[in-house]
Amino acid sequence: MIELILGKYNYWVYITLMMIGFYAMIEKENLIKKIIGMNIFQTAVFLFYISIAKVKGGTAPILWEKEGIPYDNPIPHVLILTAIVVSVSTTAVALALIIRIFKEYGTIEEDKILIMSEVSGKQDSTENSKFLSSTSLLQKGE
Amino acid sequence: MIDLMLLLFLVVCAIAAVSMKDLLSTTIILGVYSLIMTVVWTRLNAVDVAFTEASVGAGITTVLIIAALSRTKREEEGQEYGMWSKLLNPQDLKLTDKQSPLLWLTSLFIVLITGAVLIYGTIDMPDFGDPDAPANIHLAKRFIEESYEETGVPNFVTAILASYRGYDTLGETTVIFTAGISLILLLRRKSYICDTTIKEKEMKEHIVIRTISRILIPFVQLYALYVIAHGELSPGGGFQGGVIFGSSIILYVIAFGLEEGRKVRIFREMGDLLNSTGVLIYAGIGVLCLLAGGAYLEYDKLPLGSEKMASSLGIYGIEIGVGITVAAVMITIFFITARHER
Amino acid sequence: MTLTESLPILVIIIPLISAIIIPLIGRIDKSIAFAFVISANFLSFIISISLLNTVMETGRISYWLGGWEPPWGIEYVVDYLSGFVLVIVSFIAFIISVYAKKSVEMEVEGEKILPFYSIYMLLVTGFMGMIITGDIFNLYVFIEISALAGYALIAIGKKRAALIASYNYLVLGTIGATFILLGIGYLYMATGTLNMADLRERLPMLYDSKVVLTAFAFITVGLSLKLALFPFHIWLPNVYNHAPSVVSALMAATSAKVIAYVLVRIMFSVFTMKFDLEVVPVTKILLFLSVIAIIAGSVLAIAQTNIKRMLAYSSIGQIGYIVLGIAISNQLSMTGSLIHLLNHALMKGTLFLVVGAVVYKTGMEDISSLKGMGKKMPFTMAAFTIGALSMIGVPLTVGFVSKWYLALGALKAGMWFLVFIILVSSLLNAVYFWRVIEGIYFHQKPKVRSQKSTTKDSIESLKPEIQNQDDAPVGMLIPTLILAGLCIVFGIAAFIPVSVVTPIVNMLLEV
Repeated sequence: MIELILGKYNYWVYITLMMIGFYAMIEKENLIKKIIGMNIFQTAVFLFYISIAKVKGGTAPILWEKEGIPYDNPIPHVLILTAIVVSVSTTAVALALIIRIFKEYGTIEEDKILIMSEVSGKQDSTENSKFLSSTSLLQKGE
Repeated sequence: MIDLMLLLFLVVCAIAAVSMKDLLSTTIILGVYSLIMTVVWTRLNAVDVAFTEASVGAGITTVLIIAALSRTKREEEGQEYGMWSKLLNPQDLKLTDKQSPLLWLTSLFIVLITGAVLIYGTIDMPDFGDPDAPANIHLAKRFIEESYEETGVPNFVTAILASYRGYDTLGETTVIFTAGISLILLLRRKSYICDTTIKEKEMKEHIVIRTISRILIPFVQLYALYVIAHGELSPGGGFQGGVIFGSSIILYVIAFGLEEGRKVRIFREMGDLLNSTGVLIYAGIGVLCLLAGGAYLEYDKLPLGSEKMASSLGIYGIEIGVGITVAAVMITIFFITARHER
Repeated sequence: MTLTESLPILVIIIPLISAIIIPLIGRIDKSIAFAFVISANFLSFIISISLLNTVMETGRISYWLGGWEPPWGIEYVVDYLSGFVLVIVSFIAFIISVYAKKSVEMEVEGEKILPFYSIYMLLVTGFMGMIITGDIFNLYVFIEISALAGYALIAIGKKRAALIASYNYLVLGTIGATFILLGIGYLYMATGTLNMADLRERLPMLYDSKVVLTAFAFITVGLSLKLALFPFHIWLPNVYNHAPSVVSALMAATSAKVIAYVLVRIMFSVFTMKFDLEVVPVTKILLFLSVIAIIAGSVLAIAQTNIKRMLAYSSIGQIGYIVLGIAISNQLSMTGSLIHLLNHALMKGTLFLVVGAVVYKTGMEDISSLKGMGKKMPFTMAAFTIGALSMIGVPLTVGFVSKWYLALGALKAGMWFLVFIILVSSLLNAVYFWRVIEGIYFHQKPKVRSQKSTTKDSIESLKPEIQNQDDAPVGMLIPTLILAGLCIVFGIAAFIPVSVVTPIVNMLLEV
């Protein structure tokens, strides 16, 4: 049992981090908090990948003269380089959405937005959802 | 031992980041979390990844979140009731649907189930650092043994990134491009009055910052070019270099301000143009390889001297493309998000 | 390499490069940009057809990116399955791009049209890349390209609720994508490879490894999230409802199909039948979920007053059909499932394009706003009727063909109750579509909830407007009618898609 824990502690830590991030993503009501959770969630997965790549006694995967020393596995590094970029791009788009949401609703708390959209949803149906008239509203927001 | 400590720090930071109410502090803690992650990855010898995480995770993400905070709200509201009061005496609280203990328990349940499945998965995993794990013997072995011969690039990570899996990297650059265009689509307005970040008057007093920036910026840019050009030999490459170059321009704007809308327009136009140009260079090199009779992104076939030479030049070309797009998108994002409106 | 050998990469690169170039050439003239979009989509449609044709003649095509032999490099694979789905997606993308011009001009602000088209092409690129790739990590990259493009396109909808819809989709989509990434990592850890064909060879001896089981679980859950399979469907109605009409149409017609395709790829190409049936109870779980999705989607659709929302809930039910066939996993049901990829794309495409035309003409998207439209927009409404009849599953339409094969498959598997489920759901479909069709043809004028203003003036001022024929512009009408026409053509000449699908099913089930 102890061997199991010691042999894989990196994996256990990544699972913990992932659960923390995941919890924040689905439970927090503040939209920015969700994004922070998302970042923790994703980096946790990156940590998992990087942990796979480690070889006992290995060196960084850059060619050098010394013989006999193993290199760490470069493939997960490559994959994660790509994934990090994807993650930051997602974050940027999410934050842009949040800025727009704040402009339209005046809040970034999910529960308040839900209440607001329920109210305006009712208005929509009574207005026969003639949303073209809401263009004026949109322009005001801009 | 130090690794265990670092990992423990990570967990502490993650919990702190998630549970604090002040979003600015949360963001800073997230930055610290990223920095510790950088150290962990460096200790795991993932130098390229650590470099990227330092510039992206700790750098850009933090700046972006702060920019978003400056245009929204700093405090997290709601959730007046902590998890324990929700669980112990839900009948006393006035809860909205979203706050009901049932829903909260469901989320907790989902998270725990996910964790349980993951832990179940670890049982059959090869031990950490096992050199005979399947991941380390199949593809990796051949890359380590032959990639230098085949591509002429001593940094295995760059060799795989730019050559064997160069197409993934094109996809990655496309993702950045998509993000840049998406932000233009979501946030850009036709005309705007610009008073970027700091007012001119205040800055006059910051002669120190200006002088230092003036001295620093050329070096930062030089370093960025070095990182791009030297990606084949050492950690770094187009992505990291592009980020550094982009930050140098952002530094310039923060230090000197942008007095006139004209300059903004120039930057904006340039950003738009370069944004596309970078990806176009990358995708274009692929098309050139097609025209030269090879497969897409098969640099060897480019008519540039020997195969090794062509491969090397091809990799330089795409790294420059990546760098241009990344820098341009960063500048675009900065101009779009950091603008105060009235 | 000759041009024909390069086709598998060109089918992706053409939309990609056009997405990059549109913001540049659009500065010169916007109409050039639009022509560019259409021709790029048309080219990749033609290439898809020729690829499918080549596959039919010579078998599986493998394209080595960068000239690296798989599994060292990334491989593009065109076989019957990916060729078939490529044709569907590129065709729908082409038809919708022809349709888009007027609709986009109305629903998207002027200066945003160029970035809009650029992202439209990126979305198409993402879908095509997901279909054709033979590398599991490359799959992830393209999933993310299409996802990011999707978020932006949804958020540009005119109502502010579009932003919330997009944000929620982003959060759930990222959870899904990260689960997929994690699953890929687990697969890599267990096998050391990322190439799908290589994985298929290496996995069977690892089927009892808990790492592989976890990988499979995470990839399946991640894909179900993106597929909007019950109970992960919550994001979908808001997205289809609030996105611009063109985007709703494109996403409704292709997005779920592509993800369903990826699910089939993972279940039957990376893993094998044996794994799905004997090692994990995945088919049983999917069967259960899809049955709930079919019933719940139809029931919820009845309750809607907004037409886009109604179609969205109906999509949830239709996704259920696709998954149902995969879950039964015998030859007939798989045929039904795969044909439904095409058929549902045609019918939902038609319906959403009609709704887009109605929004263009009237600015309204309530079901009641369609009342009396039979006279005003006869051709558009005829297309709607065909689409609706297809959805109900009336014989001689494509909907009937899919349901027929699914029912046969269920019978063959001895699952009688599934036939009952399909019948009930068709009845429910009939209920909510009949309500709309009745309104279109048998109500004279839209009662604009005019209890207060029942004065003669208002009624008379409405009358002439309704009675004059005022159909959608030709640019919108023709694509709609083409899709509607195909709903009938492939309903009658069902042997054409069946003959394409049969070898796919044989390949997947290893018959």
